[in-house]
Amino acid sequence: MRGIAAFVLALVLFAAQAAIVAVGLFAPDVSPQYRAFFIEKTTTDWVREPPRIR
Amino acid sequence: MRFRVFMPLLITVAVLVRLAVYKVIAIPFGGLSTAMCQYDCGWYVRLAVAGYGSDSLFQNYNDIPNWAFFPLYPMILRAATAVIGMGPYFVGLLVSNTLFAGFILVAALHLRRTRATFDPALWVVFVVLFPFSFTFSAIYSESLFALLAVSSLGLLQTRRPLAAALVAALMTATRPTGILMLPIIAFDRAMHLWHHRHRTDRLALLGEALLPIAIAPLGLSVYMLAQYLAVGDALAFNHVQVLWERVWVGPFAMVSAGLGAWDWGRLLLPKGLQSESYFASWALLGLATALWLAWRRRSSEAFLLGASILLPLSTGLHSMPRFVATSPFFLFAVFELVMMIRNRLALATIFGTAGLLHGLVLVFWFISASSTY
Repeated sequence: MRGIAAFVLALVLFAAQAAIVAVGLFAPDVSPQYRAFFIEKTTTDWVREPPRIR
Repeated sequence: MRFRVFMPLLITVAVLVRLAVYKVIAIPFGGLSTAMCQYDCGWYVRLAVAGYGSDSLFQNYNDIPNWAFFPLYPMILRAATAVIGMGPYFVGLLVSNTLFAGFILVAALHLRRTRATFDPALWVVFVVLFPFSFTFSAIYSESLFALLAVSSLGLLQTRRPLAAALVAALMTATRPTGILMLPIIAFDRAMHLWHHRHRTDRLALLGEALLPIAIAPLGLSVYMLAQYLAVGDALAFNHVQVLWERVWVGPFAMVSAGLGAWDWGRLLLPKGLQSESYFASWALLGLATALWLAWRRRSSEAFLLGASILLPLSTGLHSMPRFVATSPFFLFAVFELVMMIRNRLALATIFGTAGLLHGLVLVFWFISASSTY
């Protein structure tokens, strides 16, 4: 029983962490300035403004 | 019994004596607390005092977001400051040195278990005198990380995978290289599955194998979630590295560029020890040591040392001496070499030279940091 509970808990933890990694890799919710400077590295200017857009 | 009583006592005395010597050396540099708080210390203290939220608008400390610094060490510093009720610089010294003492003790247990010959007193003297080990006493996450890394590996090797995974989760909340414990735990669990492949309770067996693997990266995952909720980017800790001029180049290109710079003369400039060739040489020394550990069939230690060098080396050379010299596994390898020396006079000469070098590098660190700000 304990082993099965461990198995279920492991699956839940894997799923939750996979979701976090997926969001981290594919859906950063940031401003265009943040994206250009930090993610795409297409500008050399550090724009001081809040990165969140929603 | 003798080990249990003798070691904590010896370690406490050694760490306190070292701090007393530091206090004297630090007099011209503003006193112990000020002198020991250089470079990254400012970030950790600020995080402990004000948290990540203080810079979520990225408008405060040096106008640079602070997500590159992982949360466990500043959280401990914040809690200790609240409990002790004194300033974060003093409490930071207390926390780091307590963790350093803990590391020396746990490492002694690990060395006693894994090495054919081990002299505990010699280990204490070695690690306290080793040049660059002053970083363990500074307000940096090095002492915490070293303690956790050796604990996690020790727990795994003594067949306590769940406890090892929980400690690994703390490692991933301390430094990005904490994630390197995950493949070691995964390999151990894969071997467990293989050795018990004839068991009939398959789901239970899978649970025993998978749960530690799922727990180990939890610290990093929770930190990523916190970053997503705060700034909208779960990989902010990685993306903001560009502000430290860390972008992917690759380890071999980085070493080649460092050695090609041939700028050894910069070691003598006021902002000392800032030579690219010097940094690259440390990386090579660390990698050679990892190969030596692998040759000695200490595969987990070799992997943790080698990978923890290659990962930051891919994006830059800075801080390489610190990354190499404060790796517990680098210290273990050098100590193993020292243990091979039987001549007492030679040992005394080596330890004396190490102590002098230690003082010299510490003063260089004080001077170079003072000239930065």
